[in-house]
Amino acid sequence: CGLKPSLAPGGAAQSLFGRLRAREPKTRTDYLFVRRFEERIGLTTTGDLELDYTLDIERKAMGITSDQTTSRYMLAGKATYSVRRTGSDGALAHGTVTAFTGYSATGSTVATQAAQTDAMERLMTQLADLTVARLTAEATRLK
Amino acid sequence: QGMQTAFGASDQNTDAPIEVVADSLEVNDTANTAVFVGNVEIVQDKMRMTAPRVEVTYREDDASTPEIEEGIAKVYATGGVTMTSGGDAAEGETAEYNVDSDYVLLSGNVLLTQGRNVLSGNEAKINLADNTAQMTGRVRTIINPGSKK
Amino acid sequence: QATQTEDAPVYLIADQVFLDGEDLLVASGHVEARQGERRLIAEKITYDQTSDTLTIEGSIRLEDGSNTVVLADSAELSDDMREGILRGARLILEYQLQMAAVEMQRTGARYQQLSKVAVTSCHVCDDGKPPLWQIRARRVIHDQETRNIYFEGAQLRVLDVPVFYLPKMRLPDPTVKRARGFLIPEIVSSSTLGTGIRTPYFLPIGDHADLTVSPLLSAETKTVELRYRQAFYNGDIEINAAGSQDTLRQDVGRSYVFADGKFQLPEKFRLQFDIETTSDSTYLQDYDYSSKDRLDSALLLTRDTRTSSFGLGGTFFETLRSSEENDTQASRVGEARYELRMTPQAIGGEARLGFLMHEHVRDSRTDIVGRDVQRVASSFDWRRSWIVGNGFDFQLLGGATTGYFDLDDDSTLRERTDYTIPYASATLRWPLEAVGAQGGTHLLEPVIQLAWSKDDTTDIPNDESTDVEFDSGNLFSLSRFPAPDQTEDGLRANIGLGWTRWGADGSYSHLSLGRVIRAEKDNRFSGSSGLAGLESDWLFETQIGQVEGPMLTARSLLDDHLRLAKVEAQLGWEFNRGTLDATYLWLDKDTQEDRDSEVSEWTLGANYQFAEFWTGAVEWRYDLVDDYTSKAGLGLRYENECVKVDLSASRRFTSSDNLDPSTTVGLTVSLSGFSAGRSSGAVRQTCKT
Repeated sequence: CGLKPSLAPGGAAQSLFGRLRAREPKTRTDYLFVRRFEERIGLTTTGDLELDYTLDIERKAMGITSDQTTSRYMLAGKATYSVRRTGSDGALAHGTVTAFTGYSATGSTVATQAAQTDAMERLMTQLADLTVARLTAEATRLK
Repeated sequence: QGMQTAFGASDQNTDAPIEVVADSLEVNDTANTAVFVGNVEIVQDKMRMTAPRVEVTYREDDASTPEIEEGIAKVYATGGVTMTSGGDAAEGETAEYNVDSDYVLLSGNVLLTQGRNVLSGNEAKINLADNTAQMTGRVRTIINPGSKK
Repeated sequence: QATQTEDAPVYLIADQVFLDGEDLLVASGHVEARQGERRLIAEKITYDQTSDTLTIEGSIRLEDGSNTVVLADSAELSDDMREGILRGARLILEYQLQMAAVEMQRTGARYQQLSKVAVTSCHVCDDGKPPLWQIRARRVIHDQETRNIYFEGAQLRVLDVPVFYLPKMRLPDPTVKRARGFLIPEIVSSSTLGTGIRTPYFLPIGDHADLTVSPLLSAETKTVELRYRQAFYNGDIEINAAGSQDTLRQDVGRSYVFADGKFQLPEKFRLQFDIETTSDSTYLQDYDYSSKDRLDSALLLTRDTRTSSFGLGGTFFETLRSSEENDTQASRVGEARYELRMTPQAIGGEARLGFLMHEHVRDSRTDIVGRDVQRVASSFDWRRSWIVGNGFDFQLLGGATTGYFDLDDDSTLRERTDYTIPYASATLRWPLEAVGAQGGTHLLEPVIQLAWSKDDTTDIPNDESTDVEFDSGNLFSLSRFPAPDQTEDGLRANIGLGWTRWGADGSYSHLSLGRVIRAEKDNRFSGSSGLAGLESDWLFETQIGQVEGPMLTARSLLDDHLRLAKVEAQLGWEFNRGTLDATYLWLDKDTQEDRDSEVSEWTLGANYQFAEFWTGAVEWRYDLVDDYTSKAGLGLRYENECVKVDLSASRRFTSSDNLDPSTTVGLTVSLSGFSAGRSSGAVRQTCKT
């Protein structure tokens, strides 16, 4: 069905490379999201497109044991993004991507704390990758 | 706070003689009418009316009632009439003063200032004898509450 | 403001105006009078200029600029429409609360007094049917300055059946946002606490703080719950606390305090704190204040920009789990971290410099079990991507991390251990795109990475990396251990293949596979992590659904015999009449992860507006291993423009030595139209004509 390299000239990913500049992070999760996003779509200071994003993360207790101990947590994440040309405010593309990561809480308090921090970092990696994939699929709108 | 009448001076004598002054005059004896033209001014006691053209109709000399001497029966002013009486004023496109009934009928963009209030409407029927006025047609009134309180 | 409009002229429009000698002005026929913001519509107005009164007749409607409307059959008012009597009057506040009275008296700009009144916010139809609820009163006074409504001889009627009588009652009118007074009481009945009533009292303190005091009294407990909130120019704090004397623990008073706050400081610094403490391990659960089984109080200072991330903080842990003791759990943790991202012009790419200092302490002094850890690490790496060949993304990464570990109360490590671990990787990514038959977009992305690192430290105990996860978030990361006490070692290849399809109709499907192939085995990985052995389990991830609709996300590990080793799935769906959120979890038994039995659990949470005024909610958690429902809950809400009734029932089946299963039922009825029980502009009843 006509697969062609997306990073080759004329490809969707190539048309986006180095053009998108994400909004300045305000929190740790913003930082992790932007770090991964820029790693995948190319660091730029002169991009002509600006990405605005909002990250919503909900922690759900799971694996409740018979003596009411929480053995597992799920971090359900949602990234809502919109892209507009620098200087204008009409949104060229916007949407939402979702992902989740899990971590166990059966270890010691510090093990669970380390697991949670790692789970948050993995969740931001997934949300950034899904956002890049989605923008690549909609690259025709971002010409 | 003085006796503020609805319209016009309260002691208007509606039987006083009517004096008419104008630039020119045409008399039509057969129809008992006279047409005054140019800065016409009609004065009766405290009421004063001005208009560019006024047609006056005189009373028929009635042989059987010799005691009623000759007089004006109706005054019909046109071309933009202003009327003042006792500090109140009214204006309209035409005005018809039927002397016997003491009514003045103003019509056409009538504007009436009564004390502190200003009324505008299509028609105003002013009774000079009992100082009342009846305005009709989408009447707009501006009531300026005085410094009463 | 009153004086300004008082002298404003009155504009009057009518079909006819009659001026009578005694200063009488009679306007009749579609009369409309305006003064300042006040607007009056009637059939006939007689304005007596000597006594400055208006006599008004015929379907009167008076609006005075605020969202207050007065309707009446006839009235005598002062010429500024502020004083006087209206007969057959209806006062409507905020287009919501209606007061119908035989007579209404307006005195000054402040008071409106109604006699023989029926007050309701329900939509009243002319078919003579009584509104859902109404308050009948001998007298009602609406004070427009304090915005209070005072009732005398008030009787609450539901469908015209008297339900409740109060000689005197005060309620804030709908315009009040923060009025001192009682909020809606809640009837609560639970098997552990018996049946009781919670009557919250709200107390605004200045413009930026408020206190809510909610006594909860029942046969089993006397409790006072407090909530204090304060907003500052650059932040806010909230404190929730409660104190109880109950029959569950006769001898001792029970209490809890949860406080949290966050502040925005200059130069992009943010300060956050939270305090969590309780008197005994089951208090939070008994009273349903929180389901947390480990409390963490923390103070954290952070600063995040595009190129740097800084964090300095401390955490204090307190476990409530019956299976754990506080002194063998790390109770005090201190951490400082900084990372700087640089773009060196000469060599391009991105360089990252990191520092991390961490210390955690266990109160116990016994060997191994009471271990305290201090560790410091710094790391530097550089990465760069090139687009090569026919659309290949080739990335090189190289760097090293160096630091030391120091332990107390742990004989396995006599003295400080220093370490330096170099690491490098080469990644080749080849994204391919295609446009499908029906206009859909496909993206296929094979990725292969060769990674290497050298970790000679063998004697650092695994204290923080006991739970290692494997998902698309760390398939290509250089160390999947969550903490630096363990780091992946040796040569390995990480391979992945992802396929995504966006349908033109908004459908979305994604499938990805991943695997780690190692040169030598690494037995530090637990069995259920999927990373053990020379070849890891297959990481299988999928997402199916609608881009803006229901979405099922699932992840699992398949071993070589394609047997599932771990499954996690989530279904999320938001639609206009409600939401659905379901999860499934299956983890195999794994002593290395302190999980001595299999975990398999369904959860379901849904709410659905099944009828015009009715919304149902369900919550269900089912344990498939022990084959029992660990928690189930039902909620039913009836809400229209004038009343909101919330009925909820839930049962928790879990128990431990001093925690019994419990059933809780709650009922709240709130009348909308008073600021205490505001209706959210809900669906309005309509009259059946």
